[in-house]
Amino acid sequence: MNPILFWSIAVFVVIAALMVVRLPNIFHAGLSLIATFGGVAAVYAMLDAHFLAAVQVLIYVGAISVILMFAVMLTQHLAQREVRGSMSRHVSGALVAGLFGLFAVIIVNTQQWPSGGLPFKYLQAGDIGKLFLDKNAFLVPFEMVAILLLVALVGAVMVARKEGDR
Amino acid sequence: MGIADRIRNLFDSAGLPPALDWVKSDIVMMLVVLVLVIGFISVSVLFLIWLERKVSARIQRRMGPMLAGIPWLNAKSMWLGGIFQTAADAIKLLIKEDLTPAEVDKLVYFLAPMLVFTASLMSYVVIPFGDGLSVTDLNVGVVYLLAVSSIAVLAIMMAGWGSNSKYSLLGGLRSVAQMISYEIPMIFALLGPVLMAGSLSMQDIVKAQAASHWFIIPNIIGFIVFIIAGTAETNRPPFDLPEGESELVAGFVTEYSGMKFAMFFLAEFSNLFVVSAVATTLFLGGWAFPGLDAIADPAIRTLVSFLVFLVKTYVIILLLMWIRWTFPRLRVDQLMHFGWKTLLPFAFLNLLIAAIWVMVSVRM
Amino acid sequence: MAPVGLAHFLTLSVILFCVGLYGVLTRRNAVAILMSLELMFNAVNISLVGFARFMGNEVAASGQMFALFVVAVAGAEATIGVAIVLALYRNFRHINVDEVDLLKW
Repeated sequence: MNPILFWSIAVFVVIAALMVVRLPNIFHAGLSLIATFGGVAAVYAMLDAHFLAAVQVLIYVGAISVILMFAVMLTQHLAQREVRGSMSRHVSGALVAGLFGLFAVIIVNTQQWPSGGLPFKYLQAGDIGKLFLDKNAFLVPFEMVAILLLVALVGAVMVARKEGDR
Repeated sequence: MGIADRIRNLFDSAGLPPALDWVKSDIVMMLVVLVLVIGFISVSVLFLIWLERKVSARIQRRMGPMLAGIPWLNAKSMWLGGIFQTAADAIKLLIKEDLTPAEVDKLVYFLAPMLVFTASLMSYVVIPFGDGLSVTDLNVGVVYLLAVSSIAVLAIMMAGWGSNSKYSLLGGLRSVAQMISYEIPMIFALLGPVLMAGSLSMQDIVKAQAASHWFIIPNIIGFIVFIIAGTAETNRPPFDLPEGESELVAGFVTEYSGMKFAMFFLAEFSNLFVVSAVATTLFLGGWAFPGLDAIADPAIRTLVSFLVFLVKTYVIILLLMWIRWTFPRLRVDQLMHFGWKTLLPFAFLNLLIAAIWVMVSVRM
Repeated sequence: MAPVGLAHFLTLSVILFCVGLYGVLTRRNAVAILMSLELMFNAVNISLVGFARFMGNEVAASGQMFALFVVAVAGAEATIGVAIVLALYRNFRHINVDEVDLLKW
């Protein structure tokens, strides 16, 4: 795999993520989030998970981002900037996240991972479909996710509805 | 096998001197393919705009553009008149004053038209123009197409929000609601041919149709659903409430003028071509037709397959134009009811029929 | 430069997770907190797909399938989160989570 490709995409993803958490204008933060999702889709493509990369763009960029931006548009004015929290909150948040990150990065980098990767069979969309319907593989989680999505759909409509409507 | 490989074969058979071997390298091939595809898109979009005006004129029993053309062609036939009209319109749009309202969100306002056109261009990567003529044959081609069309949704939302105007915001929100509602019947309508071909790759679907029969036969309901959903996705009448001229001033393009407006306009016609190309590929057999294998010479076969593809795509384009100028506009609540309560059940029905067809044909 | 291996992808996943964690802890706008939460989901997915790629055939399928389920569940969660934010906005006219403290004593 090309190291230049990996490093450029990784730097892009991290910078976009930092913009998501630091930009005071929420709409711009949402746009950075969309850029992050695109970058993560590129990471999946680098990891030979092409179906997942296409699904990532289709669902995260095409649906979840749309719903988050709808929330922004319905609750904000155009140039409204977020009220900044206190400095102590930012410092403690950075400290917690930074220490955990340091800890985890040290653990991850001191393990002995298989270097070139063990033999890997490329997963086609058809294979994923067969796994979803295999009783011993992922059939039960598949059906439960279907029920979960139905519950989320009905629940969201109920929660967001105005009082006094049918 | 892609366009780059075809061009390399062409160079090989024509005899390239060894000094020019760098021409066959990846970078140069990418640039050549890029120029070819963008050139094709530009020419077809300009042609489509002129065609739309002529078709609409004839449906309304008038002549359409007749002045900006070649005089003796104008005199010969009403259909050949005014062929330079689009070029004249493009020049007019370019020299128009590019007005930027004062209170817009500059980044979002400038990014939106570029993103709309980019999303439209990205779809051309997987369209099979002919035998071995696709820029790249992704093996998740259909999902890639759907993913890219969702990016246009975001761009329209950005246009609506960034313009800082109530007409734009309302038009943008309505357009986004319409586009995400009609994406779902479109996905299910596309699943029928995918099921029958057994693959998500566009070239594989065409080859499967070449081997058996056009997939429109069991999927006729899906074809109709896809045509309707495709019209809604590209914001064309009868689904053009978000940018309807008599409704919300001009919807989400209210505050755009000059080149930025031209971008939205070009993107709409580019999307029209993409929707027709996808309908051709998945339902009408793409570049395949019964006598194609009889042609021995691969170059001639590629050329003929490209012409067949163009003919089929333009049949669908004329059908879409015919629909546009025949039906009145849908009101926004009618539009949402139709999408969710009528089109989606028919899309599910089509998937069921396709599944039963595949099961029965495997048993036989 | 060392060839790109599993450790690189896992480090990227950890950094993304920590950036998302910082956002969840620091931001005061409810929608911004939801956005940072989505960052954390994506970070976990990157590590799952990385393991699927590098750890051999037995886990290859499980990693990508698990990542697909995470995408679906994240979608459901974002939907409910936005519904709650809209209900919040309707009652308080703002979505600053620091000032939603009616149940505090």
